[in-house]
Amino acid sequence: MRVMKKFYFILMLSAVFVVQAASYTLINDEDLSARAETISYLLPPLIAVVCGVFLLRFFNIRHGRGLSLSLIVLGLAGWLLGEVLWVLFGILDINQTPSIADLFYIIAYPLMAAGFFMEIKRGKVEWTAKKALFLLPLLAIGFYFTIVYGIIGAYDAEASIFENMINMFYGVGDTILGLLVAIILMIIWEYRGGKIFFPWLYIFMGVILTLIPDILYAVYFDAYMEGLSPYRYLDLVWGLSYLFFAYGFFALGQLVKDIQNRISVPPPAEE
Amino acid sequence: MDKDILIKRAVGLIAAHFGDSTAKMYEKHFSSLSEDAILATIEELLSEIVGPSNAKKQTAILCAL
Repeated sequence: MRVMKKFYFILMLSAVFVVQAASYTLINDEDLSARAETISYLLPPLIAVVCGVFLLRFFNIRHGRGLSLSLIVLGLAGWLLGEVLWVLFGILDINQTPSIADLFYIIAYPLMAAGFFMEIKRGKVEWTAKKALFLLPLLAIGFYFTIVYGIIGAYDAEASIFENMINMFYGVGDTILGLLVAIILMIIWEYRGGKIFFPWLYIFMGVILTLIPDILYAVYFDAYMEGLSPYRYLDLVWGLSYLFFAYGFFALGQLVKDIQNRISVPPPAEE
Repeated sequence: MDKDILIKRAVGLIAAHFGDSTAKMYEKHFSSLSEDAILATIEELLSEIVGPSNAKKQTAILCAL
């Protein structure tokens, strides 16, 4: 039953992604394509936030995992609000960046960072030379890309100081997230062999798939804003990242349900 | 170790990982079990969910407190 639920959920998420991909690639009519892109662009973050809220009903959001998860979900809600405003400003032909949408995008970074940091503390990660050897090269590569392409690459001599600050803050936010994500890898490592490994792996994938298009957005900002291919397909990667978050939350919720059902269902009588 | 203290700590561990509602359900369940059965249940549960090595670490902390 639970396997079927997971299967149908994956099927639903795949369908959402296929619809989004189709709206970006298959519709020739410009007006129809714009409308379809708008709807399909907002669906993944909405699904991620809804799944997050559903997961939170198992937890007390004032402490423990409930608090860390609620910060992550709140961060995602910030991104969702940012996306809604971004789309709205696009429809109304209002300048999309810098705008109040940036505020919601940016506020999500410290919220999510705080949530992940709390998870790191709960994970009771023991630092060993082996782990450090594995983590340091990854961190070095990650920092190189986020700092060179996300921060330095985002600087535009022709843009205002305010615009540059906003664009570069995304790079700073991504660097912070990248650092925390690397440490989450260590937590996932701690949970190997356990069922909680997979939900965290999906959430980790969600963050990675946010970081990569974030950096590319900063580097190819003008081409993206002009809607040129392949830069406009960054939306698809962001969409995929939200779907990974959604599935991570769903899988975590199913796991908690499973643990609850074990004791709420009486064991079968012995013959 | 006193059973009430053991239940409190075990329930705290469950709450940290799986939330308060799950912890409350297990609190009731544990009250009908012996100390050894509680420890075995929590070790088995954690082993399955957070992995054997992490479970050992966490139950060792639980017993040492």
